[in-house]
Amino acid sequence: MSLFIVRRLLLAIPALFGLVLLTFILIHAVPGDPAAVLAGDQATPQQIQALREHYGFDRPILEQFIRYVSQLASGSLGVSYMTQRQISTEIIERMPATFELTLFAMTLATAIGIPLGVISAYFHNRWLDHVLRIISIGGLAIASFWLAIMLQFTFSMELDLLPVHGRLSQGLTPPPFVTGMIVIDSLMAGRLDLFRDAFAHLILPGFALAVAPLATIMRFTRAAVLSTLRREYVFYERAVGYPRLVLMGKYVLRNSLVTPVTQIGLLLGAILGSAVVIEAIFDWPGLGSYAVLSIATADYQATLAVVLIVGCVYALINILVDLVHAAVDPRILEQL
Amino acid sequence: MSASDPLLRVAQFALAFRTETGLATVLDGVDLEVARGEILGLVGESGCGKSTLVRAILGLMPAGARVLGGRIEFGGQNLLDLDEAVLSRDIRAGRIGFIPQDPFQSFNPLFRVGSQMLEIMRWHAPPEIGRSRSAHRARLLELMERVRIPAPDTALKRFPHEFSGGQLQRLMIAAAIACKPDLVLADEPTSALDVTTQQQILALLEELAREMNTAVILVTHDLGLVAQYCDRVSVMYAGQTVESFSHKRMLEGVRHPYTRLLLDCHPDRAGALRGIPGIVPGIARMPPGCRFGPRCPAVLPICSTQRPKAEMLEADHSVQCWAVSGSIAARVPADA
Ligand SMILES: Nc1ncnc2c1ncn2[C@@H]1O[C@H](COP(=O)(O)OP(=O)(O)O)[C@@H](O)[C@H]1O
Ligand SMILES: [Mg+2]
Repeated sequence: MSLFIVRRLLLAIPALFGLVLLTFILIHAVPGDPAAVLAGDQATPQQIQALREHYGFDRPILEQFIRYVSQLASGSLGVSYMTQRQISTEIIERMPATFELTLFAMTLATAIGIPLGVISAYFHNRWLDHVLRIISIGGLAIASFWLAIMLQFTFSMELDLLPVHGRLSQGLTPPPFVTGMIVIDSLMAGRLDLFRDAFAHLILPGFALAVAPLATIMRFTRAAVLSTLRREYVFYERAVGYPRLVLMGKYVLRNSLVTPVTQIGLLLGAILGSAVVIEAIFDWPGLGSYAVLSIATADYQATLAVVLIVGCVYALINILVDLVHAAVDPRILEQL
Repeated sequence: MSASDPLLRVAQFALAFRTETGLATVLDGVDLEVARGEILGLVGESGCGKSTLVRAILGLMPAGARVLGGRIEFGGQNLLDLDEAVLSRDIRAGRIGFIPQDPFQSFNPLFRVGSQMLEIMRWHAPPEIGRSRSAHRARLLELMERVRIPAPDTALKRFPHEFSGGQLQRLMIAAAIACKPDLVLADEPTSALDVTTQQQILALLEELAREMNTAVILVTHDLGLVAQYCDRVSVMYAGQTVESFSHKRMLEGVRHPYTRLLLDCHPDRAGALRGIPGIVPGIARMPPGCRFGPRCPAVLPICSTQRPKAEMLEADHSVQCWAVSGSIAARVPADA
């Protein structure tokens, strides 16, 4: 099993290298001059040229790439051109906010999507199934940025029920840093007031982020349950009188979880992507808004660092998914 | 057999499936009786409706099935009057046990065999066994000893894929009798196994059934097997019971041309019987009159227009065949 993990980790390295290469090419393909941005509006062409030479922006792209990769290999994500701080420090500061948001959204999507999928399958082709399927198609079709803005508009501005942006209300100080996720840290510090405030801030962006994966999880769960219900062993379990709820809630569910679990892994990757937009809309100080900022300021190394980090997380999640598979299915465990 | 007090009595049972072309009768006037402690062989080629009948007795008809008439009396009540929840709670496993055709497909691959068998006992163990999990475990261990599973203690903790087919089917036998049912339905319990294992499994089933005075319906397409283990035989053809007789009539004395042909040939593994030309008609295209007519070596003109009536030849022998009734009718005046 540990051999399996090591092998998978090693396999991730070429994939991550490809990711960095591709991003590097894309960044240099779109127009944008970090030296000009850095130098500001008043700068003379000479000053801009000096900056360009200082950072090596004038070197051939291949040389820049090799320099960047060797810098990565030495363990550094580089320094932000804009803030002059270590990018790794900035990312570590912002990562917990993104984790908090995406974990909340995924928990929401899973906790609602799986039961709805099971119910949909159980009432296969009856009206409840049809209603749920129509809703799930809507959830997939809806653009999350539009939904986010609508939620903001309705629940914050019109009804004034939930905060419109940020992680905490003005004037509140975050709890002592443990995990960096405020809802968890505030509970650990015993600060229910902070927890309530932070949780209220999570609801709208979390929900906006959760809708698409929720619909996907529901659809995959429904399909998986339907295929499980056709299995011979489900017939046997009915023939020997397993009560209906036990059969559905324990046996059929477990047999059906493998596909949705794979989906949850893939969706976590996708959700990190949509978080970029949602964080920008809700002014959520996470990796997504950091990425937006870095792109807007042509802070290449920061953009690359975010892409790389997201890639690493994605690779780790995929390994985790396989481990969860093994935990669910003893036959897979034997193959690891 | 004691016709006065049968444990199970299927009378004129008729069932149809909804197909694209409308309702298709799959079982048509099935008559069957099983006395307490009796082993009944239910014989016929593949597609004759044996599994459908077994499922109907358990109340597990597929979606789209419709009961057209008849009764399935068990222990004094008509099972067709009971709804799914009652059947599941009061009848299955506790009073009617089930042994499936393919043990590989019928155990849930994700759960330990012990926990699957204990789940049955949890809901259906009779009071004399006790309600506690440890009592159930003790009973299971004892039964596993009986069905000759080596090291029952560790076997309980194993997953289905760690057993051979023969062992799995032994476990299925143990599971079927664990809650001391009055009747066990075994639907081709050995057709997924190799020939030597077949004999062992059936011998074991017979031994335990006799010892516990459990009645068994042994479904098979192999009349040779039936001869060894069954007290009585019912022969099905195309959804009808065409002949029923006791063991002692097996070798001489069976009258229906179909039964005679079954006796003359040995089935191959797939269940197709060499030696009887033609095939069992599909449910959507049943011939009028006697359904066996088109394949029958002794066919008469009347066979293609009118269905033969069931004729009692002896107390332990009934048959539906124009050739047989005709010869009786012809003989009666001569005897008088
Ligand atoms: N769910 C179903 N829908 C439609 N037809 C079916 C269904 N199940 C079985 N049949 C048909 O009913 C007939 C009897 O099948 P079955 O009971 O499985 O026979 P046996 O067990 O004797 O081989 C066959 O013609 C089969 O094709
Ligand atoms: Mg069958």
